[in-house]
Amino acid sequence: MKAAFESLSLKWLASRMPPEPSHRLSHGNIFIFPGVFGVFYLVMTLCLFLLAINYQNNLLLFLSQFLISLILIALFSAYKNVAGMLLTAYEVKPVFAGENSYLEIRIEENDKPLHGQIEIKWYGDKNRHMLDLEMEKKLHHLPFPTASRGFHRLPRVTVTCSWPLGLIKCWTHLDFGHKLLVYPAQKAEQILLAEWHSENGKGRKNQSGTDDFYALYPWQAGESLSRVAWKRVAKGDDWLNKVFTEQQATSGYLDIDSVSNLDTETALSVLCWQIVQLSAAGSEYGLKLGNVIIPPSVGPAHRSTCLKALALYQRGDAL
Amino acid sequence: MMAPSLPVAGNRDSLLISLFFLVLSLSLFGQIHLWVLLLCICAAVVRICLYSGLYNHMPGRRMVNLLALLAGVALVTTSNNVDFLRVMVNLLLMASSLKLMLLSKRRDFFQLFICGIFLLACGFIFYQSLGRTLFCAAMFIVLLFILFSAHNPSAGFAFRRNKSAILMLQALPIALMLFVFMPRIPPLWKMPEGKSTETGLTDKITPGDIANLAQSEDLAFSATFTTALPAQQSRYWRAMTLEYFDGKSWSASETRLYAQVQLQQMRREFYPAVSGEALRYEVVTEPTQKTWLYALDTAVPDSAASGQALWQGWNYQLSALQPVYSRFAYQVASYPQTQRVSSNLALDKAINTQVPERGNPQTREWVNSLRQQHPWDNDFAVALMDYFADEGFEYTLTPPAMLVDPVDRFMFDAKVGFCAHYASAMSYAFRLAGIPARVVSGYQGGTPINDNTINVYQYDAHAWVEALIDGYWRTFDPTTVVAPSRILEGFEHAARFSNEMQGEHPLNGINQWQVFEYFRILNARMDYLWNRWVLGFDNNDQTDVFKRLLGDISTLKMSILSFGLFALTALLLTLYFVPSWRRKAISKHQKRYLTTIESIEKQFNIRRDNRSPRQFYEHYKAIFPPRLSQALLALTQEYEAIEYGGHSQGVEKINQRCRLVYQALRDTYPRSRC
Repeated sequence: MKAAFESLSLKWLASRMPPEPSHRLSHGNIFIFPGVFGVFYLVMTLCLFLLAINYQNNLLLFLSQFLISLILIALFSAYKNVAGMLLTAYEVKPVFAGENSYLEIRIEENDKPLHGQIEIKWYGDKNRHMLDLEMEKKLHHLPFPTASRGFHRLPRVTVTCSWPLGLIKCWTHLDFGHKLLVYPAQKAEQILLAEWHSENGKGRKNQSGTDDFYALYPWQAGESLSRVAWKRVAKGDDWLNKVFTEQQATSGYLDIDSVSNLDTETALSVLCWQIVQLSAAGSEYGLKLGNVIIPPSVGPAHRSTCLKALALYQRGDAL
Repeated sequence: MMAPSLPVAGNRDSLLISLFFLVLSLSLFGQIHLWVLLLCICAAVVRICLYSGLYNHMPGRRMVNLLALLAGVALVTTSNNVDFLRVMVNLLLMASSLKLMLLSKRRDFFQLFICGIFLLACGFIFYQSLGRTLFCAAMFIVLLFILFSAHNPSAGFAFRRNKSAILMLQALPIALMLFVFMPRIPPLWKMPEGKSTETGLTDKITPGDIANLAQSEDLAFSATFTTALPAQQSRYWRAMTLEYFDGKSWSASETRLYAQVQLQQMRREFYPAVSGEALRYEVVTEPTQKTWLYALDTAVPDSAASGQALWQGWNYQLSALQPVYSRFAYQVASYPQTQRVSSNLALDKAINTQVPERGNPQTREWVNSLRQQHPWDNDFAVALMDYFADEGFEYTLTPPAMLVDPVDRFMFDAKVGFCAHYASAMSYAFRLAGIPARVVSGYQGGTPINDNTINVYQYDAHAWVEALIDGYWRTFDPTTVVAPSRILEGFEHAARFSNEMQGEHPLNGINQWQVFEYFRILNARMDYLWNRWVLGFDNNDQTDVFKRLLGDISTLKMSILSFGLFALTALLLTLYFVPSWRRKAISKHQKRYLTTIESIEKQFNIRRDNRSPRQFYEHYKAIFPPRLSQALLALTQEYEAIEYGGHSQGVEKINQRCRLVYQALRDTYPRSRC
């Protein structure tokens, strides 16, 4: 019942407020109604009115009428405060599953200064975040917890303001239309670079200058400290073992088939971790995911391509 | 940062609201238990300590719950004899102070706000004077300011003050319009009565018990005459007739009350046959929680509205159909020369010759012998008055208590007392002689505050006698022969000049100061206006306003009026909130830039029109001397940096650049006034 109502209201919201990277608040997207406090206030005013007519007390009567007028004024002031406010959300950076992604929302005033505080939260979420509109910098990073890899559509953002007296609540559910790419969670595990079968003979030229180790895998208690990659530890990374080999394959493919003893998700996590490590070490690597083959390369763009491929592997929602 | 929590130490709004509750509880001093007041003070001290950081542990929830339990028990045990309204006020104040100790969430803050408004409003049920209302209004403004502050935690004081004032000022006209024009609704149900305050009048008089008459200076009612003021000694304001005597006390007769209820149901009102000249006036009564009303002698309602709200009893007594909970205004005409015929001779006789079977034997014996000497009713009445005049009776407000056979004690032993003693004794004597008689209680005299208004205070309360002689009710006031000054010059005067009152009466001595007297009268007049036009503004006044506006009242006109009110409200709101007519605000640096450019324009007789600063500079740089050109370029760059680069804090720099431009102007053209 509740779910049905929710989906119905989301559908209605989608037709009324389509996704947009920035929204200007106006009568088209502001909802306004007395908040909980406002309802109590109205009940109290009604009680005072009843007392006033039963005791035929003019002062009480005037007080109750004043309270009613005040909430009317508060209604218009509340609307006027938020109307014209411009909310813009920026593209979100991809994150690894389990980490928080942050949606950066910037608030700009139209032609008059904004007052009071606004409450920002994800639609249907309990965690509320306050932002003071009197502050110089009206910027908020709204955290979005992630659980699984793939593309996620960010839910609507609910923005609420109850200025000036807290009696009237103005709120809106904005859809900024952003999609969040979530990479698989990283799992540290040894993985072998499959040998690079050069097809056009160009590959080996780039080998000069690469490190003389074969791979990195997590250090475990009891192993020799001499092989720990101290440079990386000093940078604050996990403790890693440098594994050296006789025949140095300094470049190659990361292949999902080479970790076929693991289930797909774990395998992807392991590949993900390796890509991050190799990329940080500046090594050249490629990626093989069944049909998808990304030829070896270096650099942040290559890293993103590989991670994205991992995130979307066997996912219907690939875009 | 989570939404609903407030910081504890240094939280301005929590401190303010606790101070508000402290002042509020002190202002309700007379209405609340002392321990509730102490609890409020404790809560305020806790908040002050928390605010200043002297102590930074909030009282534990468990501890406060325990305290709440104790306070609840205390409230139940101490509220045995207290009316509902006061119990509620105590309870609310108690709950608020406990909440204050725990205040840490935004939600708590709003709960306190609601309680605060409710308590302020309850104050209006207890006190309605002008001064008190101003105090409450100030408190209300402070409370709203606190609420507004809580929603603007980082705004400056000036902004919070101005903006909350604007909100209230915007609401005020709408509220006033509602107050004047919204139809008044009669009470929906009977409220638990507040214990009626000390008045000079009660519906039961027991002269023997009262050893010291309470003298209250409170106003009982005001009367504004459209005809000449009657003389002091003939101002007998009847309030009720006491027709049942049990040997000690006089009270309303059960038979009379029963008959009245039946007659009211049958809508059989009594219409007295009046004659002679009329005195026309309007009475504004203070709330009494009772139905009795005040009028001189024989009175009839003098307006259609009063005719509907008032009931003329068969004992020549006006009363209100609803208990008077708030100030109530009614118009009456009195006919002092009317001979009051008994409305129902058989009933009047039956009720008013009742005496208890035994008691007061001396009086019985004495009346028997006096009656034998004076078989005619008139002669008997004269003989009674003579007895009070000749036998050394004295008027005092502090008579000895007379508990057994009070009439005997009074008539033959003590021979001192106040009006109730005399009226009671005389009525009893009449009844023993077989002449129907009753005690009338009401007010006598009153103090004129201007040419046509009389204020009657509680200390003007009086009791006198009516006897049915030859089919007419005749008034006798035995107090006149004992203490003529009480009647001729008013209670205040009599009290001030009687020896026993010296130094006791609050008005003593002060009145000799002319200035004080002036202010006292001014104050009384203001109070009258306040009572009449604010507190007493009722249905009839509202109808008068409508009539004045519309000529006469018809359904069509009334609907046009109510539509007009809606339109007016909408217009007001439009005026407040549609900003099109308001000039767009420009910021400081823009203003500074524009004035500087204006000086250059004047000097060179050029126009910027709608060129941008950069275009303006490019366009005219050729005609400027090099120094000015440089300075203007610097200014233009700085202006662009602020405007488009988002640099804030640039006003100082703009000022500096502007100064350079002015300097360049001055140096090149020394005679120009820049």
